Amino acid sequence: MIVKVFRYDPETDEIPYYDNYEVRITGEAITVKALLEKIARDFDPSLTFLQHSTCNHSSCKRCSIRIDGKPVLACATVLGEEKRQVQIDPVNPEGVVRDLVVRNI
Amino acid sequence: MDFVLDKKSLLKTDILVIGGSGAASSAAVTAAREGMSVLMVCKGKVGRSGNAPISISNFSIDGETAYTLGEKRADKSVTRDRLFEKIVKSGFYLNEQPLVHQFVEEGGERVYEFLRIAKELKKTVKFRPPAGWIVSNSTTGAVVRESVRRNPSVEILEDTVALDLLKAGDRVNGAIALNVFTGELYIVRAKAVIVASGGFQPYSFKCTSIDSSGDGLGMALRAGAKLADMEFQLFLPGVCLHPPQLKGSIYPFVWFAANLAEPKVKNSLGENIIEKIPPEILELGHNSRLWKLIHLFYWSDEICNDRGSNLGGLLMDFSGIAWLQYMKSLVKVNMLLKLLYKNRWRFRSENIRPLHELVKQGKPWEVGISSEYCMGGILINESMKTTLEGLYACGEASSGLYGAFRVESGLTEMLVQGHRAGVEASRYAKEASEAPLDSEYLSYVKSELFGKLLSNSKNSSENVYILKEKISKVADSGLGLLRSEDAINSSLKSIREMRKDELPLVALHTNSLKYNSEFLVYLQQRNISLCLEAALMSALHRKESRGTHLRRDFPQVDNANFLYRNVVSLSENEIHISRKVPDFSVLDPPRNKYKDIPHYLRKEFL
Repeated sequence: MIVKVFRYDPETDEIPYYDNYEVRITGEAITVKALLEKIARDFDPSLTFLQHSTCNHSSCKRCSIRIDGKPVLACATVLGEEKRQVQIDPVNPEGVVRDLVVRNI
Repeated sequence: MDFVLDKKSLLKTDILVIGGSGAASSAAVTAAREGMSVLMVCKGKVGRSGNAPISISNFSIDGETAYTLGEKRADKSVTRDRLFEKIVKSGFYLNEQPLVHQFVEEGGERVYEFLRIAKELKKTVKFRPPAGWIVSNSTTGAVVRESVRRNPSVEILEDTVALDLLKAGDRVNGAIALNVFTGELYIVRAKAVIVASGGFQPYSFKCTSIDSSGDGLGMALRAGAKLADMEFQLFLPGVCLHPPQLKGSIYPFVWFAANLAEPKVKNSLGENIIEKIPPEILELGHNSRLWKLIHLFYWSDEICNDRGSNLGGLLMDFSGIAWLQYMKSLVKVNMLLKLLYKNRWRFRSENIRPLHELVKQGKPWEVGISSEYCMGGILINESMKTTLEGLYACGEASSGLYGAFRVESGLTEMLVQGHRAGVEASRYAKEASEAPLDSEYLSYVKSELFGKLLSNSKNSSENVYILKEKISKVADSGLGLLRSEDAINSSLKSIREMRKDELPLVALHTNSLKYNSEFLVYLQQRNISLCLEAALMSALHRKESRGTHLRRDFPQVDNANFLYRNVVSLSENEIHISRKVPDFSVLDPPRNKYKDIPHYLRKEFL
């Protein structure tokens, strides 16, 4: 699966850009949250996504994110191996603190 | 690489409360009513972080009090004395009995006050005999928020993680905290500090939020306070392992808890393991929270002896149940969900429809045993006072109420103890003088937090996400369901190496503290790894089985030799274990030895 991820550090980058990661998903589908963790662990630990105070059970809604433009919860949305390409964006690009993290959601 | 530490603020308050869930709000509101200035530092959002807003919200007390509070369906035979006895016997006598007495005596008033707000907010509150009230998890969060909102004198810093406590001499007088979004550091001075930041759950499989990283326990231990009962972790059998979006959902457990059409629970040999549980022990678990302990014991035996499912659990198999019977039970569940969540397919906020689809296809649910709560925590007395002056702890962050197994409500605990901490910390703060900021200690804390990472930055190579995974595996193997000397020792060796050699070499790819994911994960793992070492050492010392601490090599419950609590302290970065005999002033334990956990349960409960 090619995962295209929004990257932007307002402190150092003039404009946002995308990084592409080729992630092998075999068999079992995974949640978007697990996919981001996999990318940080296996490819790029500098990728920034929410790492504090999320409930993991669809309740707090803080892990909201856009998958192919559509807002979803990262903890409750699964991607299967049949998916060839996916684009991940912050839920609100104007409020980006860093990469996929948006203030005050 | 240098951290950007230029943004910092100095703040002052009478009472600093660390946490943002039920215990913290209860403490903060109480202290504000006592006329104190109060600052809450919350890692997330108040009422939307921690575990209370995602737990099954069952606020239970004794039947006598529930009846006098106007609940005519309450079972009056569950008297305060009976509740006290049940908590102590289920805690295997390691409870501090004055804390149990306080829980029993004060629970009713606290729960009543909490639920009154729920009713004012027009939320559904459903009574469940013998003496508990169920609300939706979102209602619990809403009441937590509302109770703080009604006390405007409580100031709040949200999305702010407390990093370490500050001291002047041996007195705790504040904390250093970081706003995760702005990167701003706060130096907070306070006359008293209340730690209400939840528990410590180091495992890879949890049904709780990601915040249970033992932050409060870690910072209290580093400041010189003591922890206790760290070997006792509450595990919950019947938690979803599959499908991935429902991993950690406790919905299957509800089927057991509500006594619905009970499916078979099959191991890899196809045996129904429920049939292996002696009928009188199985019966003891019905309508009782002892269910968790009983099933933990029998399920662990299967899972840890290579008779588990592919994902390390067991299979809940509905195939032997008539479709009509299953549907009848499903309708009951759906009605309750509709009442609490306005949607019959939402449990908490999870969409549980895929599980129903599995039953329709004749497929089982794969369920495991997840971590749920931590009986261990900061050592306190009945005034919620820790062993350090100026420092108080309450709720899951504390220890002593539930001993070796939590049989009653963690939510009632958070309300009772939060309130008590608010009262007692205020009493202290009213008399106490202002403690000056010790800049030498502040520099020490800062250098411990940031300095090691900076001085090693050239050699930093450790990926913090890999380290996080390794630490959870160490917890699974040494501090897991069925423990042994060899596994504990091996995990202890690994965690010591990780704390010494790997954690300080965590690589950070940005020097800004403005949402630095890697640094946030590092902070979690700094506390988790410290608590884990303390828990492993406690588990090693307890050469018996007791409560949820199951030893493969020592199955006996040994009241002749182990009726004490393991107390943890830290000096020169070394963990030490000492012993404390609990207060047995009301109920004196028998000094017997029991063959195993079921034998103990038989003798004490049947």
